[in-house]
Amino acid sequence: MTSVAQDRFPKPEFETDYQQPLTTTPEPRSQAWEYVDVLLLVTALSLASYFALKTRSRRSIFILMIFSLAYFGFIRRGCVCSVGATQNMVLALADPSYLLPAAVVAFFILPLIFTLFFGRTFCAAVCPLGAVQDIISYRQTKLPAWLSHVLDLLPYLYLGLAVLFAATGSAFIICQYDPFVSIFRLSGNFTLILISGVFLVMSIFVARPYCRFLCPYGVLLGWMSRLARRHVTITPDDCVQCRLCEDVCPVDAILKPTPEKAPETRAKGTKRLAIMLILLPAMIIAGGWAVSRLDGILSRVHPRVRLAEQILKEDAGIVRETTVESRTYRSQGKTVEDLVQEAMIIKKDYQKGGWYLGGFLGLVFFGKLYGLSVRRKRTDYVPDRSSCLSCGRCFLYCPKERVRLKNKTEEQ
Amino acid sequence: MTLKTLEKIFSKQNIYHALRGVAYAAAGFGLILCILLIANYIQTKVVDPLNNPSLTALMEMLEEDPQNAALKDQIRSLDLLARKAYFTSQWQLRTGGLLLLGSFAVLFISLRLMGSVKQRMPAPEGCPDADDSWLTAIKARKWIVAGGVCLLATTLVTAIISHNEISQITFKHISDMDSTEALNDNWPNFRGPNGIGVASAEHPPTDWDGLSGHGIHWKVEVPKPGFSSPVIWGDRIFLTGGDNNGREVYCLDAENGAIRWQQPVTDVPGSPENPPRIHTDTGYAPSTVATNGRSVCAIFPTGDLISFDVDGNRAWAQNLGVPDNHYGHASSLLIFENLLIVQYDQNRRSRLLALDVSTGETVWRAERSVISWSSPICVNTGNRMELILTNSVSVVAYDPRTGVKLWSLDCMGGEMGPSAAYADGWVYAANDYAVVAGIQLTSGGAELVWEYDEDMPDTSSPLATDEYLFMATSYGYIVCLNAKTGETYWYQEFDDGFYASPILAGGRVYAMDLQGVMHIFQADKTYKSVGEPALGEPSSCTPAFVGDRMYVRGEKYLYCIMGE
Repeated sequence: MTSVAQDRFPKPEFETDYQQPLTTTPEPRSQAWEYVDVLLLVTALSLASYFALKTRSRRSIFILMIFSLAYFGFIRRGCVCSVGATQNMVLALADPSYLLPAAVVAFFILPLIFTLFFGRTFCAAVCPLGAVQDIISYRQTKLPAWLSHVLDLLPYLYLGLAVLFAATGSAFIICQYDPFVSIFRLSGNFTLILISGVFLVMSIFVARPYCRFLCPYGVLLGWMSRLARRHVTITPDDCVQCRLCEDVCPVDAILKPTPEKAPETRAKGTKRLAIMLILLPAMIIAGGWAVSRLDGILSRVHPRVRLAEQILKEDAGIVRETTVESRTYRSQGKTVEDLVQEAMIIKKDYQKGGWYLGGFLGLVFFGKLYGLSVRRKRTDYVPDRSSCLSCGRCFLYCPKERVRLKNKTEEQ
Repeated sequence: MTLKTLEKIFSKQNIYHALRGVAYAAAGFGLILCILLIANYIQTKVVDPLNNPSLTALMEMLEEDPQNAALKDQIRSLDLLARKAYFTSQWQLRTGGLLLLGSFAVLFISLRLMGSVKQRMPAPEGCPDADDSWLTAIKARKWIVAGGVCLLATTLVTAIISHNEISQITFKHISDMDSTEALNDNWPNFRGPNGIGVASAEHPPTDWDGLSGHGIHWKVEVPKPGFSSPVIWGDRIFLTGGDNNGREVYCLDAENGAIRWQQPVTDVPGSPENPPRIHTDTGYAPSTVATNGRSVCAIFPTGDLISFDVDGNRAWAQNLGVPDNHYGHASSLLIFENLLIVQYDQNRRSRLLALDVSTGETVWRAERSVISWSSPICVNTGNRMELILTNSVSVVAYDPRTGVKLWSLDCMGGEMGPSAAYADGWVYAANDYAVVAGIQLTSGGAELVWEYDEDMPDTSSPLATDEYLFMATSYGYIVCLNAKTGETYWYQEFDDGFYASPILAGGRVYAMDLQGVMHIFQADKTYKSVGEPALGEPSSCTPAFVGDRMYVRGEKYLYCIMGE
């Protein structure tokens, strides 16, 4: 808003002896606070894991969630966050000249490490983006299961695009379109405020829509969680299959026991898997080829490509209005040809990156279809390790948990 | 109050209803805040307080009457009011945002408490043994395959539509460079392409005699007099004529001189009923037209600005206001890309305008403060395009696309008639009773490197090559200077003075004196005359060169002279 005001209002032209005050810039935040942030992150992760796995207390998780929302959200204004730190890591890998702050590394790595040991306890109570959705969640409407499976693919697409844009130095789209940052900062442009509003309203009726259907960091956490050494369980004891927890998970992360009888013959399943395996290379190649052809449109996210297009359009008379960027570039004494050359190199990077992204997406589609084609036998109600957010909502629905709590109270 | 009454008051039902009431109130309050905030936001975005019509009108009044203290106070008050209104709305947005957050917090706390008051036990439906997850998986597989195919198809369609956009624009850019070549192959405005007096002709004529007809391809009488020079595009020649009774634009056939069309400049909205009194040395048609091969634009000392297509159909016309000019407006027009550049310098309210050639709408406008009779030049400095103007105080460069001032040097004086010259990253400006200035362009601006103050022109514009600067003065001198140092190489005295600007063509300089004698000499550090052919009548107009032909206007006739 201040910058808008500055654009709109030039300094008043006083004809008096008035001395214009010097423009001052705020001091950068002390580095010591970064260590405080990391320390609080470790503490929050430890407590979240403790509350989810040891005390199994949804109330404690909820209180920690409020703290995380207050500190990592409103006080730290949503930055640095682990979700966005993914892009910094990618850029640092792609561009050795990019200086990566230690705090950013810590925010990226620590939740992954904790997930590897304890499941997605970061999502449960530490991530401010998850917290804001969880707190306002009121009437949880269940989406059709097939739709959830389809929407599950979106975070992979978002992750792939975010990595591509970060690796090419084009943009940090996760931060640019962070749906909750405008709430944490109580400001933002119209688009961002609109996105925030949509996600807030959606969060009231659909549990954690961003976490489930968009969060790119959630993809990485999901992978780690599959391999987690320990993970929350619905019951603290043996499952009695009372079915009381069957529909209580707001994010549909409870897997039911499978019936004894197989739904199809083994031969049919094997044949389908064989076809899918044969199609796997085609899916990867088709995906890679298709996305690599999007180099023109995707590369426009890069500011240099946009500038090159703008200047070429200005020179060709296609656009009449010049921009601050084009005027600045022209005033620097550099040639248009150099800029076009630079833009073409970036486009080639996108072509190459498009192959990786498309191939990755082909693999993801295959993985999802494979997962939906293989029947794993289960005898109890268990959390889906990949999508369970360790929020602890299901604990109290288990009669065994109630018994445990009663015994514990009596012991005390 | 008994315990029973208290229990009744605080029954689950009552608590639930109370919480519901709070939730409704918070939601209603939040909704009203949302509407107010959106309205405030739109108002902040849409309203441009500093450019409101009242303020602009007051600013224009102040331009007319700069010493009016009451007007200044009024502008200050309005400006302060606009600033206050803007920052108040900012405060409202911030405070409203906080209140909204608070109302949402109350709403969600109420809703959560409502949920806990009316908690229901889970009641799973359906048969426990039903394997609905497998049916779901089948359905999901189908949708994922369909979604994947759609995504692939969308990607391919998008790729086909958007692919190689830069290459396409680059191609267009190159195509437009071809049209720049087209500009160089024609004579689109005063002093030719870019307005710098350099022709691409390789074998221009050197020998003719207007009286005997020797070397003259054709000559035709121009219906009305004028000092404007001919402009050529393809097989068409455009020029203007005018007197106290009327002004006209002509199009002649370049092959035989026949008039293709002749359009009077009448019915221009805002045009004065009686033309202003104009100095005889200026006349009613002193400004040279400009063309881009599609439009022909002309301006007259009445302030009338008019545009035709090349077939003579009127496209638009407007009056810029009768110029406050004691000799009469004489600056010529120039077309850059799709912009018609109008240097409208006068005693008051001088301005530089860029109009859309097709519509006449103002694209940008730059305020100027000093009068001049010179014309703009537009050059590619290697880094950017610069629109360079001279006036009676300074040499100023603008971005031709935006009108943003790029640099300005206060090094001129007197009543500025000569336009600037340009070659090899150097700009030259000259005026009698002032100086000749050698200005080197730098990465961000310009630097005055040398000055020369002996023989200087007051009407004719200087001509620059990479090595030399040539000037023809009104009192009959032609001077050659070292372009980089200002050192005098030579000067030559002639019987008559020069108003026409010298032109470089085929390695030679063509300078027409007031009696119509063309002094042709090598562009060299010593004076080497090539010839002095005569037109047979006086002339003040600058010749135009296209191919191996030269077109020049005398007092009465327009001549086409063939080269070797």
